[in-house]
Amino acid sequence: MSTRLFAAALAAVLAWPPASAAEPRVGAAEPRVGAAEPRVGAAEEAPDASELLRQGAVPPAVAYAGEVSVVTRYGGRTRTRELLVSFVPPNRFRRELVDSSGYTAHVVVSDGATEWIYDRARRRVWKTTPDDADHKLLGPEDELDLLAQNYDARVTGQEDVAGRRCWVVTVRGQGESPAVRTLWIDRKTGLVLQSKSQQGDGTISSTMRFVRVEFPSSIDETSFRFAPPPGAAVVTSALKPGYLELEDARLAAGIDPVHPRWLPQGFVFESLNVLPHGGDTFLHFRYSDGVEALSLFQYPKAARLDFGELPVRQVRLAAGDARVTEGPDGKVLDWPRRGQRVVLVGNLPLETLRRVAESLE
Amino acid sequence: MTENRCPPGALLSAYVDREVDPSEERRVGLHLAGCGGCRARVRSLGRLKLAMRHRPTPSMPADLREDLLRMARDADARRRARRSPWARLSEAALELAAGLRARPAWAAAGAALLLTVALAGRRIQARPEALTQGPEALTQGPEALTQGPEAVSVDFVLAAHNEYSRTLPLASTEKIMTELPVQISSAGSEEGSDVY
Repeated sequence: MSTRLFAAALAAVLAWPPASAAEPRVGAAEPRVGAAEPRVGAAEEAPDASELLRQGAVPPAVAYAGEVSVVTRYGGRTRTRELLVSFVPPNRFRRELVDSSGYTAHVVVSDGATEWIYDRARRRVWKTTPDDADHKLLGPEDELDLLAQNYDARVTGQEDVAGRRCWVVTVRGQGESPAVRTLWIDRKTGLVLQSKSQQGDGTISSTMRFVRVEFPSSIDETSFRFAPPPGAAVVTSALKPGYLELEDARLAAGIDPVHPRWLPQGFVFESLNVLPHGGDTFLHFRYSDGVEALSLFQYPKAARLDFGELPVRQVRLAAGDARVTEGPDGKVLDWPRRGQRVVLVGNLPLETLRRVAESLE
Repeated sequence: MTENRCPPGALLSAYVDREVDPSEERRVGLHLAGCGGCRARVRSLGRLKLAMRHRPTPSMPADLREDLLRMARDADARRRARRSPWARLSEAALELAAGLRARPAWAAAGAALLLTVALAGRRIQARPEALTQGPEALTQGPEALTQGPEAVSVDFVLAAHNEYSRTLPLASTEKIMTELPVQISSAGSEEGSDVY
């Protein structure tokens, strides 16, 4: 057998099973961390993983439109949601959240200067300002550096998603049971066409996948304009995203911010925001390890947290009882502290959240 | 001020507040176009001023709070003896106002409390069954009345968390966009006190 034939045969073996079979499906057995991962074909040199991540971290330079399926798993439940998306660089987009009957339940539209969120059933519109990551205390480059410090990123193969050839990049955290994020990045445009988040124990917490995508030369501009329908109530947001230092927050809110003495490995304080609520002020501390976000909310009153339909259970902290729930965004740990309400939100193990909480005391 | 020289902090602060005249505003604007340091300072001032607008009033001293609670309880006990619920509320409000006259510094806090009581009355009026549940709300003190309206929806904190998560380098924007609109919608109340 010639060298070329041998290389081709090896590439074919390594590429098995075909991409369509490897794509996650709702209800399919959840793959575990450590299972065989796709490898780069032997005949082609893989690009630098960190460079691919830089591409994937910014919006693509081309317009796109498509249909996205998002599956989240939490607390033994699996939920699927569908989105219709369209985007024109640098920052105009439209996303329609479609329910199981095909009804567009929510619409999010941005013309780059104003973002509108429309709840069709309630006929209610929220007008807000798009976030500007350039205002963060930790800039985009700093966050990519943080990601590189805390995660090992590798190109592990090529697969097709929605008929497009993608690089598969696996981003693995550190420690004995690391969280893993896998991205399928379109080779031509850098658009992330599929992503999968795995917990430290190997279970998949969410998948996002384009089931259809196209890259038209233009998209009708009216898609990115929004006029509130007649009769719809419009709420203008008071919540311009803010990124404050701790000392700024002390001045702004007039309360002493609490700050955990312990954070999970790799996490750093990024910024703090001040959120008005019911005539009072929430402090929102944001922590990041470059991939995951951890939020700590401090409310100056012992108001109760309404968990809605999420199942809640009691857990014990060193300082007393707390309540915890698990939703599509991770876990929410809530407890009273010296006449205040403190809430932690993050896609992290409960023991980790508990340790953060107890380090406040 | 020349366009190359950094304007003093007071001028930048006035610029953020839109309290400078048009020619000054133009000069500051031209300077900002070429000075990253001042742009950062203006952004920081803007964030801080926004946050300051939401600074809460200071908490009420314990002794005044106790006085107010006692007066509310006394008024309720008297009402139960002889009056209708609305007469009870009026009497409690008058007693609270009398107490506040002696502590003018806390007039604003007292006014807020009275407003809370009035709103609670409106809620009771809208939900007649609340009257049949007895006057426990007042006998437990004014804070019992405020706990309902001040309940914080978990969607409020989740929406704020997701607003931040959107900015992370590998954020699955599409995944977040399936959650965020629902959370923002659910975080607002039916009575229009939405925060978004």
